[in-house]
Amino acid sequence: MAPRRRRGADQDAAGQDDAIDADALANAPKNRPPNTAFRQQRMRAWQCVLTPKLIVTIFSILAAIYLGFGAYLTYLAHTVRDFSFDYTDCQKQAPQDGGPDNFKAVPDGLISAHFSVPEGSTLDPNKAFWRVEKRPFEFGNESLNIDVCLVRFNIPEDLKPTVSFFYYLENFYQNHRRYVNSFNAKQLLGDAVDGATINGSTCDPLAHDPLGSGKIVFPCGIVANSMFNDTFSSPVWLNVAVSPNNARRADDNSNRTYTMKDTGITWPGNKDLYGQTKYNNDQIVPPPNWRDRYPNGYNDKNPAPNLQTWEAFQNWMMLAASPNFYKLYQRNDVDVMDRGTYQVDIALNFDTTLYNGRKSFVITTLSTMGSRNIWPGIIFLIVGGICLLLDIYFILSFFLWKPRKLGDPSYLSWNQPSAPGANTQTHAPGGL
Amino acid sequence: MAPPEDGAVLEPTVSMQRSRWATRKLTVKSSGLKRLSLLGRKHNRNASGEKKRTSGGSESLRQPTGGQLDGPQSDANSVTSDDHGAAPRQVYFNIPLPDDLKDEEGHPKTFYPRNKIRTAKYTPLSFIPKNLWFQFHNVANIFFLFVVILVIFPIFGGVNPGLNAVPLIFIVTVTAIKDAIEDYRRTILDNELNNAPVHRLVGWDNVNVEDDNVSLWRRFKKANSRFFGAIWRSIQSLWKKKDKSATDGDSDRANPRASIETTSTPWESAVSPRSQRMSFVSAQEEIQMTPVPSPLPLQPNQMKLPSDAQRGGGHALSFEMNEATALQNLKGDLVNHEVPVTGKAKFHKDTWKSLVVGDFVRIYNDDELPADIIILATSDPDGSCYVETKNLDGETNLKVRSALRCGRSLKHARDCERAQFMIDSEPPQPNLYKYNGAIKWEQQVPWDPHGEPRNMSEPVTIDNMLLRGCNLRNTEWALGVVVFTGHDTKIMMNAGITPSKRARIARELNFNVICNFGILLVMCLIASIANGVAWGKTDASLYWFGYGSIGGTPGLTGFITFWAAVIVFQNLVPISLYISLEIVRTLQAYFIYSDIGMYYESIDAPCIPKSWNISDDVGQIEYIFSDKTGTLTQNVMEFKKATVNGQPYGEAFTEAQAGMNKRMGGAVAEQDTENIRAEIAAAKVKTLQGLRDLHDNPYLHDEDLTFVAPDFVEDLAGKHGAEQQRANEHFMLALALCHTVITEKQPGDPPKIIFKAQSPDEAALVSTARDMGFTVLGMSNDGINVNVMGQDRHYPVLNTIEFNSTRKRMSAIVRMPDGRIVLFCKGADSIIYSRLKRGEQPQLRKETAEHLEMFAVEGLRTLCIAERELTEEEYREWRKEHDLAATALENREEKLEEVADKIEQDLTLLGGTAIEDRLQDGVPDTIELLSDAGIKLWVLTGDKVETAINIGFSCNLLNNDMDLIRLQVVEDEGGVITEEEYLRLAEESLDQGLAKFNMTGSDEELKKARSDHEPPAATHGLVIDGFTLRWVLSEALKQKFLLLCKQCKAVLCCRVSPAQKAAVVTLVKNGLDVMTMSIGDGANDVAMIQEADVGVGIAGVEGRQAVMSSDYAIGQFRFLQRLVLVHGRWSYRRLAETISNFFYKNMIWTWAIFWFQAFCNFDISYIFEYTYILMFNLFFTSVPVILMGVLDQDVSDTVSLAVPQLYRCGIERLEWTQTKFWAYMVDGIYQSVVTFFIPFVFVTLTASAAGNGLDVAERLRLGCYIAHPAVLTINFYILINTYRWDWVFLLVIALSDVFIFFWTGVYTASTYAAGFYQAAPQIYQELTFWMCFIVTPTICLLPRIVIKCIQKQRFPYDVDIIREEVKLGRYSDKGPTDTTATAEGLEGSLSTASESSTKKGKHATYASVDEDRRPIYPPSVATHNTRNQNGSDGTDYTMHNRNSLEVQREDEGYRPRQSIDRTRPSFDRIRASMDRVRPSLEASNDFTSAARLSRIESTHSSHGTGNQRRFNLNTVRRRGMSAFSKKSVDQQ
Repeated sequence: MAPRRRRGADQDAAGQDDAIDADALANAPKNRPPNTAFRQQRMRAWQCVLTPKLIVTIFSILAAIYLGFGAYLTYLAHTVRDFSFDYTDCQKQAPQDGGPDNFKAVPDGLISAHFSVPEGSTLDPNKAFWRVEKRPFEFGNESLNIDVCLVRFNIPEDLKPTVSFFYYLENFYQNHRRYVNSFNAKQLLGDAVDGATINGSTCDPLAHDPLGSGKIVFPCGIVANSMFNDTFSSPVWLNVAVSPNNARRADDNSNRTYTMKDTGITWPGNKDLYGQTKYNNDQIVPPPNWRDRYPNGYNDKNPAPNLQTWEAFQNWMMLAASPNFYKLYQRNDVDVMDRGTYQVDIALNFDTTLYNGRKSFVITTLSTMGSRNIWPGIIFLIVGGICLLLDIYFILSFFLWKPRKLGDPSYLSWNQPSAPGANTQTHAPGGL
Repeated sequence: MAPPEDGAVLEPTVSMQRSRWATRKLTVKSSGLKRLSLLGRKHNRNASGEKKRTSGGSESLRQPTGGQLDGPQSDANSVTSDDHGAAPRQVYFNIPLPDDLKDEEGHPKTFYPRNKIRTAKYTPLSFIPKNLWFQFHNVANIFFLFVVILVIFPIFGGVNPGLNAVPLIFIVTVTAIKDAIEDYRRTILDNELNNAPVHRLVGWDNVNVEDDNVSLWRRFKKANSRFFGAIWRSIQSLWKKKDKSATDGDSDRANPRASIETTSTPWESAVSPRSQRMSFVSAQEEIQMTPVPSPLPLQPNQMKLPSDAQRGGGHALSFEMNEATALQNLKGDLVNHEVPVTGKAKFHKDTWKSLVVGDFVRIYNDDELPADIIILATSDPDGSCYVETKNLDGETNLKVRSALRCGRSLKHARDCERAQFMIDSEPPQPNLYKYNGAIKWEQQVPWDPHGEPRNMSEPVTIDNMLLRGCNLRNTEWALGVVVFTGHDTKIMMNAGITPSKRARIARELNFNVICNFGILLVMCLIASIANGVAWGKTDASLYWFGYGSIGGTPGLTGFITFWAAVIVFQNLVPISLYISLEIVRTLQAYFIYSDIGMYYESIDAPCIPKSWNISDDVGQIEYIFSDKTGTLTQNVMEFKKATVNGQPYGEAFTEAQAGMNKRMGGAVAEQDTENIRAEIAAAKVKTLQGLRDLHDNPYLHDEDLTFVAPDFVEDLAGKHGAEQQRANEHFMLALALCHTVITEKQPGDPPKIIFKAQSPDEAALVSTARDMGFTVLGMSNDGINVNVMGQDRHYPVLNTIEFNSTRKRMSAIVRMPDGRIVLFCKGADSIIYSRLKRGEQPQLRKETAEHLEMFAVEGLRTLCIAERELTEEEYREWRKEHDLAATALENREEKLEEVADKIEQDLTLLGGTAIEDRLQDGVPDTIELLSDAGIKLWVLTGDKVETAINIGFSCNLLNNDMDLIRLQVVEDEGGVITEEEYLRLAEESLDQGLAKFNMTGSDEELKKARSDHEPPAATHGLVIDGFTLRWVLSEALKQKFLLLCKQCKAVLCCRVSPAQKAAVVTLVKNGLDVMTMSIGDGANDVAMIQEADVGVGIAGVEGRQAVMSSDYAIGQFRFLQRLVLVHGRWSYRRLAETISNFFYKNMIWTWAIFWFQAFCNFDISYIFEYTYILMFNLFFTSVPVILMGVLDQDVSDTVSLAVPQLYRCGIERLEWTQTKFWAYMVDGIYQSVVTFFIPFVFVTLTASAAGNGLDVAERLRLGCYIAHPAVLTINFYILINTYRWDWVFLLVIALSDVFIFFWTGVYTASTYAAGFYQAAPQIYQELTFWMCFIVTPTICLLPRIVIKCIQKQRFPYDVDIIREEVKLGRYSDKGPTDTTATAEGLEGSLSTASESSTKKGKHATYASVDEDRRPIYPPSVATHNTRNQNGSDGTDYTMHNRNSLEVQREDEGYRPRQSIDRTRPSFDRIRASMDRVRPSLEASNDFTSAARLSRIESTHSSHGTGNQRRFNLNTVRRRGMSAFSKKSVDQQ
């Protein structure tokens, strides 16, 4: 027994002696864990102790940042000018067929506009007029009369480019489980995906012609089928409503179209996802809702659209997260949109009243934060404000009212005067 | 000891006689009674069975490890139950089975379990199904499987079934692999054991079992394991080319070992080390001796089974009285010499697993026992053998077991063939200390050679049994028959099934998971209903554009949506949590393994976590149950001090003293301690020098010297007169003569003599005698050879009366060279004092008693040495009596004891010895530290009460200010006291104890006790023994017992069996609903190690059982402080935080998806890109939270150890509470609201959130807007919930955040992303995105940060204060604050944080340094003279003779003593420290030990053996102690 113990003591002593000489290391036993900072869990580290100073510093910085940014974002939101017009009930409420001048004032609540209206301007952005007329549209060989909503509205300020034109749908769900998957990426890319593949794909239930021809729907799926297809004209600057103080154009009597392009309205990368289809026209049929546009299906005269260049379609295929969503329809990146009265003609193909939806169009300028949204600024200001208040509270509380001595052992639960053995509650995290 | 003492040889011979009885725990009388009752058992079996049923009571005391062990039922008289396993068994040898034990086809009816033991859970065949079966018991796993199945059906909108199954497959596979590895290790061990060799009699028909009885299933399994084994081996052989020689071992095995009969060379390794022992030689001769043919004419054997009427108690009636007596005195012999020998039977080497009940086996020296075996014969002619039972009860001393008398003639295989007998055995039961059976055979009687052979029987007790797991020691061989195999063996019945432990948090987690199921259900229901309603509307866009709902009808659609929602929200019940926790725990285990602070150099053992998944449990331990031997102590006994002729000798500084010193002196004591150590080192040099000068003893090895006593050597040299010299010589001689050790000479230069003894104390005494020049060279058959100062002398020993636990003394009667007959007696001080000759040596006895008291206070074990000179007359007379008693067949042991008692009287005191039961290094410190941490340590030991108390003192568990409550129900030896009476007695003492605390043991008190985790005040300690424990653990009393124990600072349970240990653990664990830890080193601790929440095994040098079944294996007890206080605390805190954060992060993520459902008619579409969902738990957030669980430290290890109180947090389980869970959940939901709606507001409330007017309100792009800040928030949240930010952690946090950008960039660069194509560049160029990115986390985290700030400042936790202190630098330097009083003394400083690594623990230099390794200073540095300021009279160097003051006695036996005054540093030191503790101790002589011992002396009635037995040390000590506490009360 004795020799064994002695050996133990021997080596143990060596182990205790932190400084192990080279010899000992050389024939160190194989199970000895390495004495490294990582293995021994004593790496250099910063122990974050929330001292009053640190707390106050943190909150001061937070308050400064958020108040600063809040102010800036609010300012940005207010630099944006926008005009939004809800034309959902145009067909119902606007006067029909009363001649070209039978414009009627739109009811209240359909317009939302944010301009800084110059003093004495007669252009009231909150007043607009509308009427409906039927116009013939040619699709292939067929001609269709479609209701067109004519809206006249005022832009009281010159809008600097970029001026963007959005349409806005409410209560339209582009985000249902099956809906979001209901397209065929390959088909969109132009591949002539055969019917068997399409049938089993996510395009269900709109994979092949519901009328029973057996042809493939192109583009298949319910996303494409449900595409919003009201068409908007570029806003037309109306001479009639020119205010006299707009001297620059006083002599110009003609209406002028503020041309907005429907290109550049989607992310440039999107065209990588689409292509001219390789289907023959007789292989495919348009989705049911497109039948007005393609009354005889796809044919040489009225061929399947080239999806790669059809940015409005690409935009539609970017499925909105929210049931109320805006989609860019057209834009002008170059010209100033002069103040004045404008008219926009909307071909009403898409009936939202069926599903209690609403539709609007929006003309807006942009800031770095996009179009007008006052909420970021407000949120930042609130956060900054709260931080400031807390900061003040902390300063008062930790330094003035009842400062606590840091690291005072008398606060320790086992050093409390309330006698050992009594119900000294350990101060320890029970909750958070 | 050569001739068998129980032969008919009655005349006294010169040869030494040993009164040897088997070492047992039973009291003598009761066993005798049991035996008698067994003989008559057959008749009243039914009755007793009924009686048992009515007795009930403790039956309900559930003991998980094997039923009602130790309960009253386990008494022999009762038959525990009627089922097969527990039925008593009859085993036949060379007799055909009677018909009632056979079935119709003649096969034996009884099936005994195989001796093959499988602790492994799986076989290769059963692994996959069984493992899966177990794994899918987990609710969460079933859920995940269900979800995986759901995803397969596209109707539910699942995106990728394959991918979805990956996490589940991963976790199941990982768990399976882990299980497999664990089980593989177990299988290897099983195989090792099952295939261990044993010598079994083959070529002989064992009637009890059927050879071909191998079921088809078993064959199939066997074939399978062979198959898999073959595959495995072939795979292995591919890896490494092994040389073919390895397989040769098999052929070796096939070769049967030559029988002893055929070769004269015995088993090589069995050559006994005790070459001096004559019996060995004679045994050898006997082996070769041909059996003596029966003197009687042969008669055809007509052995038939005795009928019931003839059996047992009834048999006496069929004989005439005188024949009955004659039969009793007839030497039994099992061998029926008339049976022809086939010669085929041979002892062959076979495997353990092939042993069956009824086999003959031969066990060789040092072999481990493969099964429970009844010994028939041993190599020793008197049929005894030694056995080490360390694996069973933890005691390392040797125990004696004896062969059945009737079987001693069996020597050879052919004898076995001819032995015809039957063993009537009790059913298998777990009590290690009891066995009852009877062996029955028929024998011709010499006076009636032609008559019927007489029915003979002999009782079989535990003394005749060798239990599986023991080792045969110092015995060449033993021959026996197997009675219990496999799981019927006592050790296996004591062992539980290896439990697979689950951490408490993991168990509690189930509740939270169920909560989350509830939340999930609610979410899915909402989604389902809302969706159904939405599809029911005809005026919604989906009605017009959706082309029909998925389900057709709204109702069905809603139903389908429900399951779709389950899939999408499945992360609420996070599978990743389970995976992550596995990873965290594994890494935690890895770091525990890595801790160099727990690395034990001497056996090259780091702390090895065996269970990887319960590290957090280690942080909530409230009770630690510790074994004593090998755990607290090293099981090394060192002779430290002695008092001879009134002179105290010996320098020692025990751990206990060091502790005491520290508590009293603080920093001064530290210096003091150093000084003392230096002095002792110097004294040692001096001692050695003195010894060498005196006599250059070749057997003295410098490093082995433990008795550091230069003054003793001086006196031995006669420096203080011949009187003292003679006394010292005589004392050492007494030590050298009065013992039963066995010597073993180790060749070498100089030669070494090693002593092997039944108790290590004895070896220590003899070793010291050797060191002092009185070397025991060995035993001859008639005495002891001693080398006295270089002179070889032979001392004929006439008798040795061995030690046993009731006698507490041993004696040797020696014929001295001058012809005198002297009886030397050594024993417990109270025992010896009660046997001293009355009225003599008053001064000496008083002084010696005082010295012994001092020694005891130091934590040393004391023994007294006395002698008695016998006249020839006295001796001869006594010898006659003794021999008569020795040959008695009835009550032999009682009679022997009585005789021994007669001679051990009128002793003359020689002196006393003090032995240190060396504690392991740092034990008192560790215990104190753990106690500061609020952990209660109970000692559960199989050892004696006295020893346990002693250790209690030396390791600071007990102190003198404590009132010791001794729960004791004295076991009645007459068997009169009924169970009810015992229960009543136990209850009485419990009530008395509880009354001290004004308690009654009511349920309310229990309720209160459960909520109270405060450690009890150090006012009371409790000591209980195993027998009493049996009663207090009964259903009726255990609550009281528990409550009483809860009030006591220290609880010591002594003499407890392994199962009782486990029962105590269960009681506390379940009774108080606390976390428990067991620590032990032996197989006897296995049960409690398995039972406790955390089992720790000490990886000792011997015995791996404890380690194998433990959860953590450590090298030393002191590592417990690092394991528990550092790693346990860390792990618990980390895991609690990790789990909370995990739930939180899945909450925020899943609820963000849920909020989106409000905008899509709850149609369950993802707001996030699918890869985000996959990546989220994989890369975006998991790594930080895992790292947090692995690396976070609120305080460093140094501080954890310096402020153990921090651990209380874990005991009270405050880190992981339901409040915390819900707080994090609510926080998660709040943050999910913020995370979803802030980006939503930013993006969708405006025509375009992009500076160029393009679309970012697309679903997945909005998802980006949400996911990025969400990930940032989560990672930040984890960061602020982490205390310690090292570079790894910060880097991982940063990388995780960067990764989502990286992934988005990479993924959206390909058109594969479809609608998500190029989202990254589009999003990242927007100011709105970045604004969102900063404001969302801020709003999310703001409440949390504010609460944290206020809490830290206004309501700081303990740990916060400590952290502030650390920040202020209080723990980085040596200067301790008031809370760091315990900081020093931790060798933990070895691996402490870098800033404090320079700090040297106070004890660092000594804690583990053996005395021999201490720096040796030249004597001039520290002389004895330097320290006499203690107020002792030691400054007087003149030879002041105290004798002059004494009245000269007329008694001749009284020799005037010369008193020597000298500096006695050690003694004076203790004296001084005692004075400091109890200033008025000496004043109140009433309770000093001197007074106590003299009282014993005076009250002792010389023949009242019954009385004196009660006077054991503990009662005395208790008195002393309560006196001390009374004292302290008085002083106030």
